[in-house]
Order: sequence, then C-alpha cells, then structure tokens
Amino acid sequence: MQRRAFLQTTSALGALSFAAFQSPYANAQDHAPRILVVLLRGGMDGLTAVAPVGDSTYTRIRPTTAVQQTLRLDGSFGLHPALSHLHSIWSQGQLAIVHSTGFDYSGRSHFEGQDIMQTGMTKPYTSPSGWLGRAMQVANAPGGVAISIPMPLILRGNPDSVTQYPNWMPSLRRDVADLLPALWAQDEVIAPYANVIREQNMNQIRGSMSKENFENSRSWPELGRLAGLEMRQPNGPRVGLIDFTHGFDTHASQGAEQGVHAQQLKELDRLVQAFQVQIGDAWRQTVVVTVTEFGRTAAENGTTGTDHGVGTCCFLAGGLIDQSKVYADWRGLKTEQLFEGRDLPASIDVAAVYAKVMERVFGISPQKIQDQVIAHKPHAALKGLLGLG
Amino acid sequence: MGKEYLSLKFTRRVAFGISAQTPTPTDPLAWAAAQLKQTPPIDILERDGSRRTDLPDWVKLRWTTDDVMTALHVHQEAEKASFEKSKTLSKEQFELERKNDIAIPYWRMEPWKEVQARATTAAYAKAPVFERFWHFWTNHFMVAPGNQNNDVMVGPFQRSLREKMQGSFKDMLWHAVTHPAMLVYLDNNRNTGPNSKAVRQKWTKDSVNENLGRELLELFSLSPASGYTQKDVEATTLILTGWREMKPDKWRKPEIPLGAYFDFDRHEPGSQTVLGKTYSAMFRPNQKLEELIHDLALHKATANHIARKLCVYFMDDAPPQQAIDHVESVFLKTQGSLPAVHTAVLEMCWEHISSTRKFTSPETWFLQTATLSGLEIPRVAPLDDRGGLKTFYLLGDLGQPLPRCPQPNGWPIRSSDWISKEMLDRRVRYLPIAFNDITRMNSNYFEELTAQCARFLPDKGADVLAIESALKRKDTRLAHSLFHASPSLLWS
Repeated sequence: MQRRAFLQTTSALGALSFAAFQSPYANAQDHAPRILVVLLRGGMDGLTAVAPVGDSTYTRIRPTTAVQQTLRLDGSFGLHPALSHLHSIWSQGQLAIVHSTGFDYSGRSHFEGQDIMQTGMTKPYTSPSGWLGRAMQVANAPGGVAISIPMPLILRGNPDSVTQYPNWMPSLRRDVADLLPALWAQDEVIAPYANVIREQNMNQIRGSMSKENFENSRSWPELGRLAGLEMRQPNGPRVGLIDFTHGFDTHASQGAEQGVHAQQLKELDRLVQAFQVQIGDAWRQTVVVTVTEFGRTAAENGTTGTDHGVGTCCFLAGGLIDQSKVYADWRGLKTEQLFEGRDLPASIDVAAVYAKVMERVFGISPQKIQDQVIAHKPHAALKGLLGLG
Repeated sequence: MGKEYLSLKFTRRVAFGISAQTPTPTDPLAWAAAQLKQTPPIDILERDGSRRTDLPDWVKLRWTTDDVMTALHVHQEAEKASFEKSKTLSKEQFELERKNDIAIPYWRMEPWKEVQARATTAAYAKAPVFERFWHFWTNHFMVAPGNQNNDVMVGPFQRSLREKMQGSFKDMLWHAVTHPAMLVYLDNNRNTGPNSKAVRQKWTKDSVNENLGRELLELFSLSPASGYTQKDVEATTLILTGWREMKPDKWRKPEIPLGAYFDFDRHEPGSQTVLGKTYSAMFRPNQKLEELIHDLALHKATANHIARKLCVYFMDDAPPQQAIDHVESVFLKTQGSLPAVHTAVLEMCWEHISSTRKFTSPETWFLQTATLSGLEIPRVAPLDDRGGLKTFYLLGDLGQPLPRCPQPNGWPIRSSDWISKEMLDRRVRYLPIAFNDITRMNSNYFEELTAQCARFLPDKGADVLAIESALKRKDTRLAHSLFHASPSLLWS
C-alpha cells in the first residue's frame, strides 16, 4: 500500500482547479485590481521589521535586539536586512510602509487581537464576518481564495470565497462527487460547498506528486506561488489570503539582524517574491498587504525578547502603490512618548489604512466603507497612500 | 425523531459513537456517566485493548518525571551537537545527520507515539466519554511542541491531566501551571524578578516575561471578559517569577528533584496585587502563587468561563443559556469539582440533544468513523521513510495536525471553524482511502455495516435517499462512504 501515491500534479493544484469558481463578474476583468492579504499572527515587531534608525532612543532601549545593519529607506527608517526583496520593490517605487500603526485595541491578547484584526470590530468576538469578506460583499466582487485549510475569519462573509491547500489525496471518483449535492442538500451550512467540491474534483487532472514535491508544496514560498498562480488567471480570484505562521510571538531571544524574528521576515520576503514572480503582469494592478494583531513592547523585555504591545508597522507592496514612502505619525520612543509608557503607540489607526486599500481595490466609497466594512479613524498622514486623497 | 436516533446522536456527541454491532444504550446518560468513574489507563493499544508490545523501547511512552526531564536534556544536547555539526559537515551530510539525530526521534516519533496512544485509547479502550473530556482539558491547557525543544514534554504533560480530572479544577489548574512542560512552553523558566537576588547579583540577564502570566488569566481561568487589567497581568507575572524546570544539566542542584521547582533566588520579593487583593509571602515565598491560583480557580468569572467553554465545546456554538447557567452553578456549588461539572455537562447534552448540534472536529470525526465501522487506527510508525498511513499525518491532512496546535489557545471549539471547502473536501476524499487501504473489507461486510448504521440516521432525510440510491446500484462501498460523509454524521 502506498501512503502517498500522489495523484495530482502541482499545476493541477493550481491553474485548473479554479475553473470551477468562475463568477459572472469574471469576464473582461483582467485589469481589475487584485489584493493579497498576508496575516502575520503572533504580533510582528514593527521596530525589528522597520527600524527607526533616526531615533536615538532605539538602540538604548533595545540593547541586544536593535537592528543596526538596515537597508536604507529614508533618513528615519531602515528596512530589516532579511527583507531584501521588499527593498527591491521599494527601489521600484512600489512599497509603502505605515509605521506606528495598529488597531484601536490595547488589550494585548493574541486571541482577542487576532479576532479584531480580522473582523475589524472594536470589540473582540462580536462579528462572524471579516472586513475583507464584507468589502467583497459590498463591492459585489467575485469570491476570493484563502491558501489555507480552514477558512480564516477575515474572508468570511463572502460565501463565494474558498480555501485551497496542497493535498496528496486522490480526487473523488465521479460517482461519489456527483452524489454530494444531493447528500448535503438539506443542510443549509454545508450544502453550498457540495457543488464546489464536486466540480473541483472533476476538473482535477490525475497525475502524480512525489513525496518531496508534496512536502515542498507547503513551504511559504510555494504557497505564495500558489496564490499567484490562482490570481493571475483571467477568471481567477481577485482576492487572495495567506495565513502566515504564528512565529512572530518572540518573547525570548528574538535576535536582531539574525535570529528567530529575522527568520520569519525572511520567509515573508520569499513568499512575496514567489507570489510576485508567479502573478506576472497582473502585479501591476496588485497590492500585497500585511495584517498583524499588535506590535511588541518598545523596549526589550528581561529575556532578550519583547512582550505584547500595541503599535507596529504595515507593509503595502505592488503595482497599485504609486510611490515608495514611509507614512508615520512618529511620537518617539522615550517612555513618556510611548503608549502607557511601554508600547509604540498606534498613532495611525491601521483600520484607516485597510479602508484606503478597500477603496482603491474595490472602488467602494469611503462612507460605505466606514458604515459597512470597517469603522476607522482617518489620519492626515495617510494622504496620498494608494494615490488617494 | 426517534429515541434510538437521539440516543445514538448522544453517543457521538459525548464520545465517538458506538460500533455498528453494539446495541444502542437504553439509558444513554447512565452509559456515559459510568465511563467517568475511573481514570482509564492510556497507552498505545492493540484492537483488543491490550498494550501493543511490538514497538522498540525508544518509541514507548515516558511516564516518570525523571525520564521526561532526562529526555528533554538529551534532546537539547542533541540540538547543540547538531548545531556544531552544521559548521563542519557538508550541507547534504548535515541534513542526513540532522534527520537521524533530531527529525526522526523528536519530530516524528514523539508526536507519532503520543497521537497513537491518544487515538488507540479513544477507539479501543472502554471509556470514550472519558477520552472526550480529556481531549477538552488537553485543549484547555494547551502545551504544544515547538518552544525550547519541548517535544518530549508534550505527551507526558497531557497524560498527567487525566487523573486530575477526578479532582477539583483548582488542583488541575495548579498542576498545569506549575508543570515543567507548561513552564517551558510559555517561557516562564526565564521569567525572573527584576529585584531578585539573581538579577541584583548579576547571575542572569533575564527579567520579566509575561507569557504565562497573561495566559493564566486569559486562557486558563478568568478570561478577558472578566475585565482584568494590564497591571493584573504584570502582578501575576511577578508572582510567577522563579517557577522553572530542573533537568540533569550542568546547573543541576542535586538536592532538588528533577521536574518543576521554585527558585527563590529568581523570585521577585515583596507583595503583588491582583484584582485588588494583595499577595504577600509571610512564611513561604511560593505561597503567593498557591493563593493566587486558589482565588482564580474559585472565581465566579472562571466558573462562567469554564462552563461556557464546555457547553460550546460539547453542545453548540450558541448553547442554551440555561445549560451554561446550570454547569456554572454546579461549578460554584461544588467549588469546581470536576466529576460533578462533567456530569452536569452530560446532563445538559442529553437534555438538549434534539435542539443543539455541533460539527465534529477532524479528530472526533476520524475517531467516530473508526468506531462506527470498526476500522483499525493506522498503526504504521514512521521509523524510516516507508509508506503506509500514519494517524498523525492523517489528522494533519484533515486539518488538525495534533499535537502541533499553532497557538496556546488550543484548537478551535466552534463548528464554524471546522467548516471550509478544504476541510470538507478532505473528509470526503479520506473515506475511500480509509475503506480501501486501512482494511480489506469485502462488499458483503459493507452492505451489512451500512444496514446496521441506518439507525444513526434520522428518518428519510436527503442523505438517507442518497445512500439508498448507492445501495440500489449495489455499490456498498460508495454507500458506506456516503454514510460517513452525510450531514447527520458530520454533525453530532
């Protein structure tokens, strides 16, 4: 008995599988904007990813974790050296960074924070849908794809979105797939999935995937590639989501230029690179956006790591970005300048950043976004982001 | 709906169902309650419930604290040695040696044997209801592999919770929070008081680390709904300073047994205030934590948090308020007696069985499929790269890669988190694999099995008709796959 007598080719995982999810909006939408959201769970340390090299307090409060060998952005900020591909995007004028930003939430809990970052609500556990899913509903946009086994909360609320993840299991026999819609017909929760599963299984080419290929297919760059492959299709999804690692929760020994936090950033960088290569020309009308639940304490903690904080930074990369720039309302890193004396403040509401992204990608009016997608506090410092006022 | 159907739904709700050949329990509540009376032994079992004896010594479960702490030390030393090798060996040679030194023993065998014990005990031992409640508690007090090379500590910690299920929540909370596996997993072994002797005399550069302090309040006891503040988290963290693990490394103090210990030299002296109450060490410095845990365990917010979580886990994403209130009141009245709380949950599950429903988690559904159809839990061990189904890889394919829970809040407990296109697709694709590969069942067996399983379905739903149409075509294997993929079996 072969455990992994793999019956799919890598390409079958991608290109063809989406034929099933064509939407009525798909035609002639080649130039429609695309968005890839990358969830960075665990709380990305904004002060490691984008170091405030112009702030003299930085190295004082971070004796072992300050990043000093940075890639140049401007006089105030430097990019972590692991983000070399993002830096090349910066050089091409396609990387925006918002710093000292975060949600209007200071409870410092991962789980509440990860709920809020996806629902876009001000209180945790108060919405079954996510801001991205709601925006797609409001815009009447076709379904998106989450490169994930579970459906992340951020995309819920849009019933046409699906999950997609490499799987070695053989596709269903036709007669089994054909019976699924009838089998599930009376269950209002799972019935909508039956046709999607049926069509996807029927469209899948039976080939073979070696064990190595299967394992490799689940690496972050490969998942980025899979997202790019789906989203480049003329009739493919315009919205992609990658639920990236939980490894940003660096309470101890987080490192600086090297180390565990740097390793996460490296993976993120490779993921974006693989996605960009794969999506090809559609990169021109694409934006990649990062979302994390909170930042980390401004100062190092007692175990050369950082604890849960508030403000952090947010990356926006792609052809929809019209100039490379760090957008910030920087208050400084001295104790009295920090939120509650310990955290980088969320001086720009990150929900306002995502609101602008939704406006640009889906063409929804700011008022509709405020009312139906994500409530937020607009900030003057964001003027010009994504070419919007 | 008939009583027999509801009784069987209940067996799936609070356990993994019963085998197709077993008669339906006439008193389901008594059937379930009886299984909570003792703590069943857990091990890697054969189908007849006996301990599996064909495994080499190094893949057996570790039971004593000395063995676990020694294994932790050996693993950590192996990691250091591997790091040294990386400096001299070629990339290929290094990867080969790393696979043999680290990947096979710690990343494959550790989870394999623990998942194997968990799954075979659930399927073959005689108290699946006990196992469901144990699954709940291992999820509540999550310790997952990944931090500080803690792989060998995960299973022993989880198994140690079993006997605590016969006592009070307070004792279980104390046990879990001060267990060496928890102290390592949530970094408390480095959490050190800024005014401790160790810091004042510069023996260490460590200081406070809030990881365990925050989760103690947020996940294990009060929950954020209770309204504690950052100050409470900081004070709790200070009370936890100095609690760490002793292992047989070069810093071993021979007078201290291996396992968890309280290092007064790393503890923050003085008193701390949590939720308005000041904790001081008048006689014994570790008394602060004892008192804090006592107060947290009996707090009304904790009773509410645990009651609600149990009801969501077992009953419905939106459980009846009356059920939560009942479990909470039993918790408070008995000062958190877990047998009483568990029994209350069973009663509420039975009382509300027809009006509530819960989507099975991948693990529960996998075990239900095995239980109902008499499938063997895949037994192949990943000693090398040979093929064959492996239980812990399969659970990952289904979307729940035990024991690698991504975050300390455990696996999702809401139905909505287990439903997605990929999740459903994988369950349906798994069934033909299970029925083709795991067993050599013949067609007659399937026909008989499917007939015996009919009582698990409500009368004449759409799923019943689909299964009947497959049976009419004499495709019994297909019919049986449809049975396990039917909404009635995906939900409990």
